[in-house]
Amino acid sequence: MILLIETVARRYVCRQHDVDSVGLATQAEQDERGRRIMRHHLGPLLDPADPPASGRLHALTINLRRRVVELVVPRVDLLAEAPVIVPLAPFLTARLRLPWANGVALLDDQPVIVLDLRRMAADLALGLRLAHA
Amino acid sequence: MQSSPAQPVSTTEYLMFRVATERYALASTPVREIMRWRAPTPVPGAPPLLPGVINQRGQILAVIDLRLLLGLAAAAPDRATRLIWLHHGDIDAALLVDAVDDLIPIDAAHLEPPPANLTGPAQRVIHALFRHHDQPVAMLDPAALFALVQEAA
Repeated sequence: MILLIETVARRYVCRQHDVDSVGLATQAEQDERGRRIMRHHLGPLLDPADPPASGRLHALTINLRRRVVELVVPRVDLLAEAPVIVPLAPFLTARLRLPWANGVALLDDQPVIVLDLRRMAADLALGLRLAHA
Repeated sequence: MQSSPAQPVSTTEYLMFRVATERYALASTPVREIMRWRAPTPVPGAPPLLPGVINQRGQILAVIDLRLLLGLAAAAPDRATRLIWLHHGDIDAALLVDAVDDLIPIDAAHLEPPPANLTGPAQRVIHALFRHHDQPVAMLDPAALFALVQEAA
C-alpha cells in the first residue's frame, strides 16, 4: 500500500510498511516505552523552498530501537490504487547526498518522488541532514 | 574524358543548440525528442547539476543542467529554454540547454579536432569542432557527457 504525503509545497509518496503509525501530531517528548521522540517537519527537511506546516498536522511515526522519529506533514492519504513506481536512474541515485529517495511514481502524469522513510528516520536519528537543512 | 568515381560522403545530422554564448551540437542519433522547458520535480539530496525529474509520455527522465555540467553559472529558464531527450547506452536523460537552433547535415570531412587549449569539463566532452556560418560549433560526445555527470562533484 502506498501513502500520499502532502507538505506545504510538494507531494511525496512512501510505502506504508515503512511507517509504524500515522496519526495526529502531538507534543509528547517520549513514547509509552520511554523512547525519545524526534519530531521534524518533513517539507523543509527535503526542500529548502518548502516551509514548515502549521495548523492541524499529521505525524508519520517510525519506531527505531532507541528513538522514535515523527515526520510532521499537513496531510497523509492512503492511495486507493497503487501507482506505477519506477526506480531512479542509477546515475542520479549515485549522486544523492543521502539515499532518502528511491523511486518515482506517476500521479496525474506528474512525477512524485518515492521516499524511503525508514532510511530517513535512521539517518535523522544519527544526526544526518541534507546540506540545506 | 573520363568521369572519376564518386567519393563516399559520410554525412551525419547534428542538432545545434546554445548554452550561454557558446554553440554546441550533438549527433542526432541519440536525440529522441526536444521539449519545452517545464519545472522538474526536485529529488531531495540531488546536486544542482541534476535539478529533478520530468515525465515525458510515461518515461521518467532525470534533467541534467548543461550549464552547470560545463562549469558555467546557472541561468533562469526563459521562453527559449529547451530539454533535449538523450538516449545513449542504457541511459535516458533530459539535457537542459538555453536554446535549440537547428538540425543540420555535416560532412565528417569538415570536422576539426578540438582546440588543444581546452580545459576542465569542456576538454572531456568536446570531441570535435566545425564551422557554421563562420562560427565555431563544439560537438559533444554523449558518452563523455554521461560519464562526467556521474563523476562531477
